[in-house]
Amino acid sequence: MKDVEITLTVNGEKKKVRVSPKESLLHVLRDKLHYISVKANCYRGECGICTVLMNGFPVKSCQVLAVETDDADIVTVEGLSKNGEPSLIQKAFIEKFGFQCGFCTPAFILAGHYIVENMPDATDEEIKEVLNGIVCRCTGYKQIIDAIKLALQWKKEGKS
Amino acid sequence: MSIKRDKAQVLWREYFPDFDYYKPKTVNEALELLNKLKNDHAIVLAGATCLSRNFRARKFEVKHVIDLKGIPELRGIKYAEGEGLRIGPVTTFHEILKSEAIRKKYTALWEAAKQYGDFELKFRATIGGNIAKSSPQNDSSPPLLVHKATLTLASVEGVREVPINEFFTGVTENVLAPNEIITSINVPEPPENSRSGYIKFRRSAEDRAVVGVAALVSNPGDRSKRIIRLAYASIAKTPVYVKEAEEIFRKEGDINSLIDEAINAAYKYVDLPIGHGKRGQDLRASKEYRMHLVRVGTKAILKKLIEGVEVF
Amino acid sequence: MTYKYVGKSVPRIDKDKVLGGAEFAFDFEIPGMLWAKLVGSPYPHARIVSIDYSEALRVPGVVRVFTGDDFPFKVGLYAADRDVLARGKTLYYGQPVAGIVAETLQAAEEAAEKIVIEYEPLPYSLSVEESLSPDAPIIHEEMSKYKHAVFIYPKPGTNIAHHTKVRKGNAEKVLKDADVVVEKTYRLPLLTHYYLEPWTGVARVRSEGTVEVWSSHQSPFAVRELLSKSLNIPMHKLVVHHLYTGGGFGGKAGLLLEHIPILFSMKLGGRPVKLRLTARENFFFMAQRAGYVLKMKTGATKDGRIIAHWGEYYLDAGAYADYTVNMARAIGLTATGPYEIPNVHVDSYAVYTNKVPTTAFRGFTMQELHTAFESQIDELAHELGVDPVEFRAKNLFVPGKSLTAIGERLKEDAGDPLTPVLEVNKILSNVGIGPRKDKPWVIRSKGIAAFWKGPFQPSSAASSAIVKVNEDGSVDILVGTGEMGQGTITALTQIVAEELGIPPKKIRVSPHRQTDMVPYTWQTVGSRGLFSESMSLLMACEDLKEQIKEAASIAFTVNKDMIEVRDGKACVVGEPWHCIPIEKLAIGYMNEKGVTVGGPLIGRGYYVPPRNVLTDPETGQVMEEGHLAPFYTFGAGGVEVEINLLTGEIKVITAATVLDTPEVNPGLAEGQVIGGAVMGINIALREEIKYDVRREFKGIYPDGMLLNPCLTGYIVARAGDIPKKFEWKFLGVKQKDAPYGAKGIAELTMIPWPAAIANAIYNAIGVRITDLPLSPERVIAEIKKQKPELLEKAMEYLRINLKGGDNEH
Repeated sequence: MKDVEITLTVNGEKKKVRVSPKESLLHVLRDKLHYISVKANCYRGECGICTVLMNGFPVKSCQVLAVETDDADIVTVEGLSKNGEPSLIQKAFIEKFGFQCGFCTPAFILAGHYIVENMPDATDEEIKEVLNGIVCRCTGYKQIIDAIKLALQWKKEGKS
Repeated sequence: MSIKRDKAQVLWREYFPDFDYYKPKTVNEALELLNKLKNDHAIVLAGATCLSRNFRARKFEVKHVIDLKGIPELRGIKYAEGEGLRIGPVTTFHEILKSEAIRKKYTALWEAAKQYGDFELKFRATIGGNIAKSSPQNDSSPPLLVHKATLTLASVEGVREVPINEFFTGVTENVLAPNEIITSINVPEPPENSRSGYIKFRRSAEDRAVVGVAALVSNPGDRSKRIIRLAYASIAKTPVYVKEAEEIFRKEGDINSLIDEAINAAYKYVDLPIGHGKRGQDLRASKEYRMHLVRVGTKAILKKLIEGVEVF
Repeated sequence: MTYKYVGKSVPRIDKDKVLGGAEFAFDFEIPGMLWAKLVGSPYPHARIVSIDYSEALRVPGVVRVFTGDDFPFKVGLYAADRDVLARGKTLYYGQPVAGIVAETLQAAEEAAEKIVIEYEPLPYSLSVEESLSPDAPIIHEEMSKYKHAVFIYPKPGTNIAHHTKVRKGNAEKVLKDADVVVEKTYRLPLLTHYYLEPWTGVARVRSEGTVEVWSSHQSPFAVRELLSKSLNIPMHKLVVHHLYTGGGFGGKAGLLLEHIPILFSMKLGGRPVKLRLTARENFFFMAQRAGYVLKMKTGATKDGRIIAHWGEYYLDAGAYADYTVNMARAIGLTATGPYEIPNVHVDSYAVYTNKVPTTAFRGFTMQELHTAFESQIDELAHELGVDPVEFRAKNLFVPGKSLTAIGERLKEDAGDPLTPVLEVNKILSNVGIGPRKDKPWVIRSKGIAAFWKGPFQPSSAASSAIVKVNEDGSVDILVGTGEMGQGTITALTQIVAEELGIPPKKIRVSPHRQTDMVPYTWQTVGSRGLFSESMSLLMACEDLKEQIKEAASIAFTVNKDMIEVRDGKACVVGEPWHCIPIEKLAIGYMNEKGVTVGGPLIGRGYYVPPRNVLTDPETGQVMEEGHLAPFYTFGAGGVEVEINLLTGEIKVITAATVLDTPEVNPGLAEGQVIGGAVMGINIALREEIKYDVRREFKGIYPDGMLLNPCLTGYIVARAGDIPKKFEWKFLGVKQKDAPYGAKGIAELTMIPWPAAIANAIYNAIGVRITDLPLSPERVIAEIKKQKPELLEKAMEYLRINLKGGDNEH
């Protein structure tokens, strides 16, 4: 099949891209639009490293066909900082040492961002449920969970 | 030894194969398209969570992909008291979890959705895709089996309704004709005073079922009205409904003996297929351990549904 | 003494990982870059008859297809046993047999499908036992021709890649006189590191002949050494670039794939070539952790003294044993764990099999050794009827006195082996052993394990560092160590901040290092990174301070020894009003008349482990008085577990870690403690690379295939799997010649868990499990074998009681 032109919004900016059915959303974001915060590992939907927010929900971008993303609204970590100011969840990850090698970090930050925006009263168990789909091999998850809890608390306290 | 000629092993790929992509807007449009392309490596796509992997594995040849996500009538959950539940096949597991009706009336399905895949997957994976994939590990099937669901299948030739128990024919095989799609999952109103539940044994917080057990229980203490149904994931070539159990639980005798008898009936199904392992055995569990889990899981789910005791 | 920055949770400096800009080799691209794709063998052991890639060449965009014959030499570090691409025969399922280079990855992938290969399958071995049997297929027929490091002893004509002997006293005789002897065999499966960044490398040859490579590795200088030796490239013509590395855990320390894109680029006129693996390819093309068969016999006397240890340790090295030969050496030389045992007789072997190649894994055999040895210790205590903690206390090393298995006398300040054990025991003192009240089929228990480890490295393993002061007083640190998540570069800024009295935010370590621009360090392995680089940096800071004092002494016209450096300033001692900020001296001091003295401030330092020595090939004893490592960290781990008798599932509720060393940065140290515990516990419970050793799946899966090369088959820990509670403590016991007294911790945190959990299982239900993983299936099988009554009793709890005599309806 010939390439088709799709329009998608990434981090608030409208982008027109030519894509082929061979590509996934992951390829579009990394290779065509150069959002390199989107990482990948398994290309099988098992590791969760390529998670992005699509239409507000965390999804694994390797599992999304590029051709089905016409009109999609995507958020990557590049889109979280506002005017150079890191978002709450990013500040919390720094404060709580919620990252080590950094390769899975963008996926966890986006999952954390989803929690902060949508699950204000999330319990530890609910946080873990969101994180279960993303693999981290360095941190043992605790400092990631601590960071998300801190961001939730900050949000409640009205910090921005 | 003899000389073998082999294609080189490509151990994994980043890219999908080349195909034509269609996103019909109505069921009729989809059926026409599928009928036209059915003999030319056409495949129907829903959440793409499994197909994206199979595409990269080059599991089968694919030339045409028909995406059902653009058809509003295939999406959504409708429940009416007394009439039962209808779920559009392109409904995601995320949407299923939001349904109060499913949580209360079809608890086994809700619990299966909760334990199926992971959080991110649930925004994409659909119940219709899960059924059509027809993997023996399907978490959604055992609950639908104990709830005696039927599937509406449609093609250009017409519509038919198939009990889910007759849908699966083998590992990733089912009765769908090449030009047919699932258009509705229909679940009757549960029997009076009934409860259902699903227990999934897995090796970590994110895993496919080593064994899954669904049960539905109604009036356990009153033999004349008693209904107990059992179904399993990941014990055989297909999701398994142990129909013998229905009869067994109508018999007289100590409930615990009847449970043992039902477990023995379930044991007879334990038979994982070629392609995934030897009889009863695969990489997730030996036959012996799998049978052990059938026993433990059956007793535990019934203990929960009858006495309210959470075993796990 | 308290410090301003050392010992504090200074935030990590690699914040770009959180902000989205962090660059890994995975992301690295050069204009005009080609893509490589490798295809693998479908047989575990087969002669290659022919390779037909004519169809592949016809795919648009394909530039070239390479096969083994293009590269007729072997590569390797400790044992040069590895083909670039299989030559003549393939030695394991998945071994790269051809490489396609194309303008795009899509074209390379498409072409890869079109290569056709003819093989003649050969008999193969999937276990140590098979490889050592008299009729075993010989996997490396030409072993005698391979180059080896001086301390590696292969046995040509067999499948033994290396043999280490340790002989101290007379263990065989003494064991006969022991009051109790515990004899067991422990089996540990192959593992994968599952670092998240799959291996990636980009290489090019500059037109003037310099070879450059950007790759995902732990140790840029080790990569350079390996490549220089293997490919005969002089070191000044070879630049290895280190970007952020997405996890290593030992798997990116030794045998990597940089030579492949480099060789492809060399044959393609120097055009840049990128090889980036997917996770599944990473299982087959990268080296994994060896499997182990550990046969052990340990004896003690009635009064609770361990008197002898006998062992035969076999490492299942897979098809290539480059690093594993050195691991066989490591496990042999540290055979007795942290215990003084007068009689030791150990043989350790690395054995070739037709499986994936193997290499180091976090802990470099010490988790494996302690898994077995700490089980032996617990069993001996139970046999003797003494408390396992007291039994350990009686036999642990006493620094300054004890001789190790290789006759090394531990230094007075080597650390504290005992207190960690007592502390862990204290942390768990409230945990009772027995059934849970609400769920009597779930049994609570606890168990502990002691451990020690030092970096296992050549006696010459050096490091060096440079500290530069910039014109504005900010500081650049130049070091050669790798950053793969452990946080070393953050901790290094703390050390320099402390030494110079300037805030860490004014200090930078580039995330990007290249071997021609940073000073040498041997490797980033063995928990040595922070220790060795800090030692070098301390010397560099001293050197720098001397230069600052020199320049300031001219500025203030006083003697140099009248100058002190503090708070980023040089001051005259006792005259705090006579200070000059270091930026005024950064590129030399200019007086009011414009005369400049001194010059740019560059401090240089190095570290070489003092008196590290080699061991005797026949006895494994140190060749003269000296040490195997520059430090040893001692510690203990303990677990509170729940054993579900119905499913066999083990849940770790609490994981307690105590280490003797001080911590440089509590936030980073916490990350190591938790990360190591979660990984170690998961290895204990879930992880296993599977092969069809018993040929049960013949005809179902391809012969000799690695059966679970994905996350649905190989189970890594998820967020929901971690213990409820972590407890940890750093005792702050300082070593004199260590940076701020601190020793390495990164691997240590992973060691004790399998043994502690196995001991906990035994403590509660009397079932001893010797093989990993302690999976639900294995636990149930062992309960059925050793204590079947427990299981049936637990099943009784599932009996249903219908109300009001309903049961009999």
